Amino acid sequence: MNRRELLKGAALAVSGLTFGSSLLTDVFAVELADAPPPKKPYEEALKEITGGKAVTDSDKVKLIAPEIAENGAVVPVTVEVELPIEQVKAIHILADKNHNARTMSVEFTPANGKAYISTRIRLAESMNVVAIAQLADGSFIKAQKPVKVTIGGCG
Amino acid sequence: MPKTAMVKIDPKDYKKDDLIKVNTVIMHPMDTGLVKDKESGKYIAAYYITDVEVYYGDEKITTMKLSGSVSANPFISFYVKATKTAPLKIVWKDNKGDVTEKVIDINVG
Amino acid sequence: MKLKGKLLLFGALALASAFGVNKAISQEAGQAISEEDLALYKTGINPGEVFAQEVGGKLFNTPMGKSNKSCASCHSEEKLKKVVGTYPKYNEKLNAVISLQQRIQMCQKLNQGVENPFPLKSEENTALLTYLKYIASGEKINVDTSSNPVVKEYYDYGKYVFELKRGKRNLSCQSCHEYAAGMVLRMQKLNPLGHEFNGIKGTTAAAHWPGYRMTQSKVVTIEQRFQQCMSQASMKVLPLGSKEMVALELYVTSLANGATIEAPGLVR
Repeated sequence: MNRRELLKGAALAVSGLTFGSSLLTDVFAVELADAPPPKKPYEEALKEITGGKAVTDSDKVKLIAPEIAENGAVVPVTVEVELPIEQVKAIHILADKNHNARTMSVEFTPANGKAYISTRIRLAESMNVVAIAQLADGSFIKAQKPVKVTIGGCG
Repeated sequence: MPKTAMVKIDPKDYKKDDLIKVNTVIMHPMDTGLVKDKESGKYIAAYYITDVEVYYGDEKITTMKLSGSVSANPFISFYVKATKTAPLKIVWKDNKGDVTEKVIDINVG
Repeated sequence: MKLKGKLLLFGALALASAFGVNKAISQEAGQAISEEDLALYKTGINPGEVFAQEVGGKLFNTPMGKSNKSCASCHSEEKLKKVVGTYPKYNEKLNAVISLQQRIQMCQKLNQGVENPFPLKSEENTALLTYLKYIASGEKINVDTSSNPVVKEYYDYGKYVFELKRGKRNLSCQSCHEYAAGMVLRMQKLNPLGHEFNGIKGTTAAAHWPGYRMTQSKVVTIEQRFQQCMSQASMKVLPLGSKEMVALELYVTSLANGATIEAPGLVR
């Protein structure tokens, strides 16, 4: 029995409750690693996605992100490609100064109806958020936006 | 051990062939692997959702790949064209092999 | 001019120039997140809502203690949600004002027969509180501040704690949330905690706490937020559930009287 289970068992016994441990988030010991994961800088991430092909700026890629993000842990990002869904294969969201510049890649099918994705990403510092649309004809188009990440006044 | 997740469809009163928005949240720490543990000096190991798959009936309609750069307790929203009455299943997988599934029925009458 | 007068004048000038300088040189520093950008955060699902329903809601329906009864077995949510906005509230048994979190503990001990109620800092107590505030969304904050001498004492004490300057930086809650309200502190706007102050719109904070703190990826109670604020302002942190904290909670909640509860909130 690992430390996590032992502590959970003890806590439950004390409180006299018996409910599934999925009710509480993991608050006990976490796994440790000797080294951080390898860095994936923007250029490498871009190459991974495009294979070296050219990416052109396009106003068909609508990227919505705040100008100033209230905090770096949760930054709302929405990408919509204004082309028929059959023409859009995937959307890739990159953050050019993050340790791993790739954040999310979404592959669509016509069943989605719309090439749209909205999510929340982490930004380590002020940087550009880049949305790359991979089109069915093999080409790539993009839009980008600089997002300022603040330290914040009160923690 | 599956995680807690929530799926909401908007609008609630959709008709056949409408574009419906699927909003999802799954409770997951999304540890990047870059944060140091103060006591040991080691790193808190990377622990995050890597794949999200969306099935409409039997067909896989969307595939997503995530990195630790996605916020904790990730919110992901996408569209589905409500062409048929079938269950919509969302599957989240993390880098430790944990799988969470959530099914919501799409009913076009 | 006497020395005291000189010091006061110097202090006032320093303060004025500090604020003036900040406004003048840092065009960047004076910026804060815009209303439209803030609205982007609201378009998703608040993870706090998942916490409220899945963790809090499940606990609410879990039988506990010697009685083996759940909260739900005695409490109808329809009736319960009307009472949530009246806390912190006077309790006759204890002849004191208590917070909703403490009332949950009381219920566990006296009515459910739980040997050790969930501690105030526990995730379980926070989850139950969040669930109660969540089902009360739509109701109004309506705390009593004057109906009996004990309540009056707590209200006055809470106001005193709010206005008392403490710690290394000689700051009080009032320093940022009233005197400096409307100004920007490291790209974050400082807001009054009630409806408004000096013409500056407030956040009616108590109406949307507990809140999911994005920087901590978890739901935090208002008293815990007070502790985090105090720590940031270099003040000694007051213990959860202490008379000072409950009085402060009563005072800050009273500032939001009349506001509609919308919990859990989504906060930085």
